[in-house]
Amino acid sequence: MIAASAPREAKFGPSSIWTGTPTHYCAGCEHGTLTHLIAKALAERDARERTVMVSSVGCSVFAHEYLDLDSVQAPHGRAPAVMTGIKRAHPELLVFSVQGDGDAASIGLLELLHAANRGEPITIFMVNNAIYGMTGGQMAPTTPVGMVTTTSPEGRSVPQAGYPLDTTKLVASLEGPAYVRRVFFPISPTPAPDFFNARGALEGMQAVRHAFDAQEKGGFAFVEFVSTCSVNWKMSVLDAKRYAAQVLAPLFPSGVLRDRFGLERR
Amino acid sequence: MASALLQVAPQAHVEVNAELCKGCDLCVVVCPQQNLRLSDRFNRMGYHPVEFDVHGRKGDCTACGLCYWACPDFAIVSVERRRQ
Repeated sequence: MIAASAPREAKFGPSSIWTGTPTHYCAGCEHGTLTHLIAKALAERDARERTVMVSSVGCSVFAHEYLDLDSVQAPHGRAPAVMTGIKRAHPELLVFSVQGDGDAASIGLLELLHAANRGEPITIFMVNNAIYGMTGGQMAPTTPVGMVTTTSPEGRSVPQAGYPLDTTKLVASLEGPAYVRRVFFPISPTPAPDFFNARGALEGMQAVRHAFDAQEKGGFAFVEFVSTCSVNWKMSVLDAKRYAAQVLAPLFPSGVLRDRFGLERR
Repeated sequence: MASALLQVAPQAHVEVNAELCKGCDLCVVVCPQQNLRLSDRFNRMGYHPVEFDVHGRKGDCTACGLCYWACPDFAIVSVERRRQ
């Protein structure tokens, strides 16, 4: 919800929270889109002076270069624990983190699950690109079966590496979280050739707004953004989007898994 | 009459910061009117930046803002209607 006193941002204009630095993300990466959406959402609610961003380890680590916010760098995977400390010391602050799937679903799964189980009023955005992007494309817990990565050159095999981890379902199975949602974030192909729809970005904007709303109402919010990593998938940008629509969308179906405050009904 | 009205109507404009653009093609493929295309020149980062033309291959720009939401690099600076 936009506060009445908030300065009106142009609907399709530059966000006042963006620092103006060009992003280091690869061309077509969803991390950049998410950074943009967060900048828009925080500017809308005029929350720049009361927001703390906790950077995780991964491609999202340089988000403080692009968002003009106070930030803390957490050890690998420990962003939910750092956010818990900040939120308990200063309950008036808005804290959020952008984590990758290697950070939140692998090394930091314990912190994530316990923070979710306690129902800490924090917001976590997880960008799931099914691979370890920053370190060069190793297999992640979320890698689909059969996907070729640098550590699974013959494709992920179930006897050796098990099944892909459904983090959002795992978080939603707990009692604590107030808002859990998964968004299929990349632009997705349409029946018309060479035309894609941008529904994912619009859905993502709504999810980002609601995740901050849920935190302000005192609940734990977790949003997973199913994304692509064209460089480490060794594909062109548009081929990666097509692959994501074909393989990742059925594996990680988007939807609202928990909405305790009825944010989606408005 | 109609043409006179069209002339004074505000024209949609997409402002692109070519130096931020990485030529990823996302805005080009989501544009319903095909007003955006990759240019032949290079920007300072070595990418072919995107160019805006108000007269697209399928029609004029309607300022729908899809390119703005799709852009991952803050390169679509603004989408607005401007008085001519």
